[in-house]
Amino acid sequence: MNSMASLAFRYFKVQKRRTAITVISMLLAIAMVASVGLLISSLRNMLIASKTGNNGVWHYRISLSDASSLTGTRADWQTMLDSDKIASSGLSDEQTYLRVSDTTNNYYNLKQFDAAAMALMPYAGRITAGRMPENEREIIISNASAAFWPDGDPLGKTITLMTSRFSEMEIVQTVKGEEASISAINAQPQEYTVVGTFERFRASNAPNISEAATLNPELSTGVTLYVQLNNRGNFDRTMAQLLASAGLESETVLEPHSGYLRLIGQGGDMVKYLFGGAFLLLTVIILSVMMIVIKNSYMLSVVEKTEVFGILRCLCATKKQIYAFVFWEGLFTWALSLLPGGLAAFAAMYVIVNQAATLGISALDGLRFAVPAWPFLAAASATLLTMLLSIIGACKKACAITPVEAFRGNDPYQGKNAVSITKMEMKRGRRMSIRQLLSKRNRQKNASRFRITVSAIGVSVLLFVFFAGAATAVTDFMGRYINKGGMDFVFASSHHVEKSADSYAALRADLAQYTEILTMQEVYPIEYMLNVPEDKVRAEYEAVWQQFYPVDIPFMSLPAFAELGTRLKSIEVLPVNRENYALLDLAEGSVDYDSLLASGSVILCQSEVFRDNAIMQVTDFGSFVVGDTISIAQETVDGMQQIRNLSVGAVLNATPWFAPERTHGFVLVPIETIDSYYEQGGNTNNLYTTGMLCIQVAEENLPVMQERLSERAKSAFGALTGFVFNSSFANNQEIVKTVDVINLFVYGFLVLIAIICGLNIFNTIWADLSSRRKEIALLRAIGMGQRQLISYLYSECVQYAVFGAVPGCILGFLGLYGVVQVMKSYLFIELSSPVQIISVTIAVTLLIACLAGATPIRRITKAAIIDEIRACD
Amino acid sequence: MSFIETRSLTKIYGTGETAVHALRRVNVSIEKGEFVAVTGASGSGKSTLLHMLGGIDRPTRGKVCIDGIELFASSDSTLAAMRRQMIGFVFQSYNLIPVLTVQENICLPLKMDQQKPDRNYYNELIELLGLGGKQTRLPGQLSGGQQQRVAIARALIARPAIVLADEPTGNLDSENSAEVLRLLKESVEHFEQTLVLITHDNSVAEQADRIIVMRDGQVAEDNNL
Repeated sequence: MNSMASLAFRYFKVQKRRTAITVISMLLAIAMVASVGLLISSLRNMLIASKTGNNGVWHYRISLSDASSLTGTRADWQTMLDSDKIASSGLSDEQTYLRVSDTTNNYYNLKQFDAAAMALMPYAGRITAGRMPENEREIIISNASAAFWPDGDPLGKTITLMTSRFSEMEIVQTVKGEEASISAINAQPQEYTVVGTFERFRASNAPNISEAATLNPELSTGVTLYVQLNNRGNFDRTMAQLLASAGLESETVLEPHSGYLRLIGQGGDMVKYLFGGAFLLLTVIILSVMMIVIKNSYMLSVVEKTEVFGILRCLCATKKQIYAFVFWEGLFTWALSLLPGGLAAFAAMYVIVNQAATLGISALDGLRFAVPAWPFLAAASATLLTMLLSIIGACKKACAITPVEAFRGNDPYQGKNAVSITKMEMKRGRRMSIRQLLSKRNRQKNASRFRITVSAIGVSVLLFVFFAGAATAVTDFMGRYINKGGMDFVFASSHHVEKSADSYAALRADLAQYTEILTMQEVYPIEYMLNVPEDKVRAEYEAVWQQFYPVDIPFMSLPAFAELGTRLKSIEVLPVNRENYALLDLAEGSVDYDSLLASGSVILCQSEVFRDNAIMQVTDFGSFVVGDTISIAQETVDGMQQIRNLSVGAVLNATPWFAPERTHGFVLVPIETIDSYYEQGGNTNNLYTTGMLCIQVAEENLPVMQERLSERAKSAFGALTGFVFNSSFANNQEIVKTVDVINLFVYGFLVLIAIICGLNIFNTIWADLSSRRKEIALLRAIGMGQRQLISYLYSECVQYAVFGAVPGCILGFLGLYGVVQVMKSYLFIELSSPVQIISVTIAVTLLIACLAGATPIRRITKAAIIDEIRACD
Repeated sequence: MSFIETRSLTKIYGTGETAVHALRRVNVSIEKGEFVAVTGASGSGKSTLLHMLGGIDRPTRGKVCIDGIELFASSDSTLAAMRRQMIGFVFQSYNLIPVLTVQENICLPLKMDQQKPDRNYYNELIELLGLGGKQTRLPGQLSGGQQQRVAIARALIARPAIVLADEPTGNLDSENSAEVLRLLKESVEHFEQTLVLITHDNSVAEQADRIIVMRDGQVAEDNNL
């Protein structure tokens, strides 16, 4: 080791406290940068797994039927496929469908793959029961859709299904104007054995009945060619070249697996901008704070070694050698921080990522801890660069020290940090207390040190206010999606299996085993229009409408069905059973259930829910009362208008708990009468096929019922056939967990920034007080009391906090405000009052500053006066 | 009872075999208004004795009483108040606050007591010590002799009953030394203060009312002149 390096190493060991603080700061920065990289890698891998888990690992598929010339066999394509740029390729035929039953839309899209193509598909990794097919008479089907087979679990059974090609389906018009394929021409019966079930990557109870898969090893013709390229070069260009070699235009036939390709750095700038941008932004933030801290630390280190540098200059050390001294000290710090920083990042992310993966948040399905080398290399090189940039100032300062300055000390009237004593300054000084005067003069004397420390505090506070404010705004935004007071669980009809009133009765009977269920309500929404007389329209309703809907859509329009002097309001007619009627919040004068049944009167809910993204508002549209008569209208099957005049027997004060959200007011009728409200002549089974059974549970039983009902819904046969289980509780829990994860990452990041900042304050205050030991001892010798002295020293700590925190808060809040204003164009996000965050931030900063000063202040104020004076003489 | 009195004053640094007895059961009595010079070889305990009298160092054993008040039995705040109001200390190496001007350094003890200086008295001190025209300067802008005068002015501004000077001329040339000593004597006579001064210089010591010679931590001689 050369002489400067060994001298630097000697001081590196001697200045234990300073070294420890600097090493810890650098270690934290390395750990944070590496952690960001590890997290980004893990998230990227999760997204890749999601894409490939859903759609497979192919890169491109070539539609062989889109161009008239593309009807060839694999042999015709073999020349292109033999290229060494292609890792794997396979054929598929996806144009066959199987009809499960006579019910409309109840069919499977049967996809046939050859062995190579099947290997590129995600099925093998997603088999939940049974096995993969081995020939074209064996099929696998999606897990949840097994429930829709009319004869129970089809696994292992051989079934005859009507098989047809999509080109041979018939399209008809229904009464509601929809198109639906209800029959097939040239359908042929075919026997299949269901050998396995598979689950989509994002496990969901939503059925995927549109897909079945089979293996046809002998498949030689098909409509789609799946291709996987070798991981070299630009994929788009490679494919274009390959297709051109086969005489084809890529635009007409080529379909990339876009999401997957972007994630692996092909086909777009997603990886660069999203992941790279996020990594860069966070790294810059972390290293900005680190740079200020390291710079301050080395400046203090140089000041402490002023005499040493003076001696070195006396001994004819060159500037280059002085630079080397400071450089080696920085290098030792960086080197010592590398391994612990890397290990800390590994350990922290291992715990955090694995914990996040167990939370059950659907957005984090498949999250696994990834450990590539690049985050550690990036952290090492970025922090080395930051360290080198940070010590430039210290190197220059060290070189600027003259022998005279080294031995005489730093006179406050010389140089950049000269204390200016003008008449005005003297006059002001007379009005100040001794504490204020000494603080001001010391700030002037050590202006650059003060500035650097205050800057570090300011940057940390700015980051805290900005990110904490952003996290609060995001969590408030997401919190609005949490449904409160509505249905906890729902068994909704899948629309693919015909239902009747008996279906719901059977479901009720099945669910009766759960005593934790408080109440259930069948919901079969029927759309109607309500005639609202002008004098019954609430003035404030129009204002709310304007707020949520574009100006050019007038509310209550459609004059075609409106009576003279009224407006039309869209509503839904819902059934209510006796049990739930008793629980409704009804206005005074409302009749009982039996009276409703006897009189044929209805319950009116005039509360409308407006929702736009996460913002929700409830307002009344009308001012009907009990005893009024209302007129509702509906278009019948034959295009006529059915008008019903109904007596209002009860008025709801609030939207009922079982009401679907996207509604515009309700008329509730006793469930015994709901059939009569369905369109005249219509098949009432259609009404039940689009219904749901809503469930409410006591709050303390929500978690256990979530588990039980989810388990029950998995074996979706018998009474649950054709019903899909949805859970508001689970959705709410997911939002809460997502919010918790966001807060964990944001506040974890901010706490680490605060630690680095705290270490910096500690370093500065300690160095500042240590350099003034004699001055402080003199003050005590002259007669400054202990309490007065402690108050004076703590006031200096407070000054650091206040001078740093106040501008940091202001700038942080302004930055946050600006970003929120921009985001408002896309999301209804609001900025909550900054008072709480700013108060907490300033209080925490004050606390950190006082804690940082506590140890040196205690030491200095307890030391013997004369010992301190002598030590510095 | 004397104005300043020490009883069996002892100061021991360290323990066991390496213990250093800086003071060994020193008994000294000084009357109000006396000018006492304390001499002795290096390490004889002169400065230690002075620091004890000024309350800026604590004895291992023994007592220091000033005007009947036992110094080290008082609370820290009482001790600090006594240092501000009753005792003025002049150090060998001036020990001015580097960021305060001459005027601010001089008025520092009063400012700590939240008092304003008596303008006339302040001007009198400035004139006496020849510091006119230098009040807005910082210590770094003054010569050694000037800094020592400021230190003397600081020690006198609160009109303390006792002035303790630890080799005030130790870092000065002969001309400045004579001048500083003259000023000290003049001011303590003028303001009827008790002056205890440490010196190696016999010519300085001979100007005192009394000379106490320290040797090995004890009073070897106590000559009342």
